Amino acid sequence: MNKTIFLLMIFLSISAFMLVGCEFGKYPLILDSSVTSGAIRVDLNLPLPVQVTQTTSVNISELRNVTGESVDSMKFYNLTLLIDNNTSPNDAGITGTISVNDNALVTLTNVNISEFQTERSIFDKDLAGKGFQYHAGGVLFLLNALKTQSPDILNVTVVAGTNASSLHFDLKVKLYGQIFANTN
Amino acid sequence: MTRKRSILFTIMSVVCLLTVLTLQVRAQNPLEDAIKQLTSENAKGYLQPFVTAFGANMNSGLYHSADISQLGFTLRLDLIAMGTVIGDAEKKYKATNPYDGSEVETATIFGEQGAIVEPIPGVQYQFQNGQVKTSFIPFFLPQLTIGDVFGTQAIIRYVPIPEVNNVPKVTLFGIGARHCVSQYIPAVPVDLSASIFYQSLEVGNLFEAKTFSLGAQVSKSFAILTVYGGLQYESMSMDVNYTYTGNIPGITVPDANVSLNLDGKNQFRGTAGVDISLALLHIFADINIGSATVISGGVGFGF
Repeated sequence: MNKTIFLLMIFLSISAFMLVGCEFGKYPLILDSSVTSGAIRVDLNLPLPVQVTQTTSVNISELRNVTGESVDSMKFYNLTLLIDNNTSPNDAGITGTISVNDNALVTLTNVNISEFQTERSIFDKDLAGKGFQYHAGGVLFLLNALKTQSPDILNVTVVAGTNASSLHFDLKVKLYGQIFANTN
Repeated sequence: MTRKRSILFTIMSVVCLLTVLTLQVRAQNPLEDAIKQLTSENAKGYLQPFVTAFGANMNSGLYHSADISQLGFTLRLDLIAMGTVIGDAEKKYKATNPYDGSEVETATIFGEQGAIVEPIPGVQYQFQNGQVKTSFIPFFLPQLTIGDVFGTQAIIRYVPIPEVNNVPKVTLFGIGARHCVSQYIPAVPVDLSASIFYQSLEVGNLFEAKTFSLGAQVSKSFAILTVYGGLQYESMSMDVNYTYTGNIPGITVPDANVSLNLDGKNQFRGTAGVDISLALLHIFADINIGSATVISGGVGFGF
C-alpha cells in the first residue's frame, strides 16, 4: 500500500476517533442565583407603637444576571431571613407576619431574634417548633412568580411586634432561584 | 518522503491537533459557568473524575520500546492519541444537601441529570447536571524523542495554542528522560529502561495541571514487531481557580475567590503494547491498567 495513503488513513482514523463519542451540554446548565431585598429597618419602643409595618421590594429579573447564557426557565427554591445590626434586648421575641404581594408567607409567634443571626431558610425544620410557620399559599405565589417571571417586582411586607421592651434591627430577605439555561 | 508530502503531513498533524484541542476547550465556557456555581466541596466531587481522566491521559504514551543504545542517533516525532475509559463509577458523587446538610448522590461532570431534593412538596433544588456525556475521554499530542547519549534519551512535549475568540489559551509542556538499564545487565535477554517525566497544562484561567511519573520499561523486538510493557508510578495535580457565584444558603463561603487543588486518583499503572517499525514509520498501541484504564496509540516518524 502506498505509504502516503496509509498514513492518511491513520490520521483520519485518529481524528475520527477523537471526534466521536463526546457530547457536550446534553443537559441544561443550572445556575443558582439570588437577590437580596433592601434592609427592612424595624424600630419599636413599647408601649407605643404596638407593632411596626415596613415594606421593601425584590426584583426578580435580577436573578437572570448570574449568567450571559440564554435563560430557558427559572425556579424558586428558597427564601431566607437574616437579622443584622440588632440592638434589641437579648430575650426579645418577634411576633408578626411576612407577606409577599399580600400573600402571607411566614407567621412568627414570639420567635427569638437570635434564631436569625445567621441566614436561615424559611424551610428550616428546626424553626418549626419555635413559633415559626411558613404558609403554602405564599410559597405557591413565589413558585408561580419565578416560573412565569411575573410580576417583576415583589413587595415584601413585614409586620412585627414584640413581648420585649423594644425591637431594633435590620431584616434582610433573600430570594433564591435556579436558572435553567438553554441547551442550544 | 518528498518535500511536498512532508509538508502535507505536517499540516495535517497541526490541523488534527488543533481540531481536537479546540473541540475539547470549546466546551470550557459553559463548563466554567457550571463549575463556578459549585461550593468547593461539591466542586471537588463534581470534577474528580475529570481530573483523574485528564491525568491518566497525560501520563500515557511516553514510550513504545525500552531499547536505547549507549550512543546513537534517535530523532523521532510521535503523534499520540490516548483515551481514558469513563465507567459508571465516574458518573456519580456524594454532594451536600443545601437544606439540611445531608449527603445526596448526584451526577459528576460525566453523569446524567443532577439529583433533586425537595424540602417541602412543590419546592425543589436540582444539583448541577452532567455536562460531558461520554464513555471515553480523548487526548492527543505530539512528542519529540532525542538521543541517544550515554544510553539516555530526552522526551519533549510542547503545544502552545493562543486564545482565539472564546476559546481560551492552551499551553502544554512536558520534559523528561529515559535511560537504558539493560546496558548494565548484558546477559538479560530483553531491553530494560527507566524514565522520569514532568508535564504541565494550562487551559485559560480556570485549570492548571501538573503531572509527574517514574517508570520502568521492558521490551523485546521480533523483526519489525516490538512488544513492550512497563510499570509506572504517577501523580496528577490540578489547580482550579474561580470566583464562587453560587448561592447555597447557610453554607458560609469565607472567600468569593475559590482555589481548589485536586489530585488525580491514578497512582500506579501497568502497560502492555506493540510497536511496528517500517523504516522511518512507527505505529504503536498500548493499554494501560490502573485506577483508570487508558488506551493509547499513534504514529511516529523518524529514527
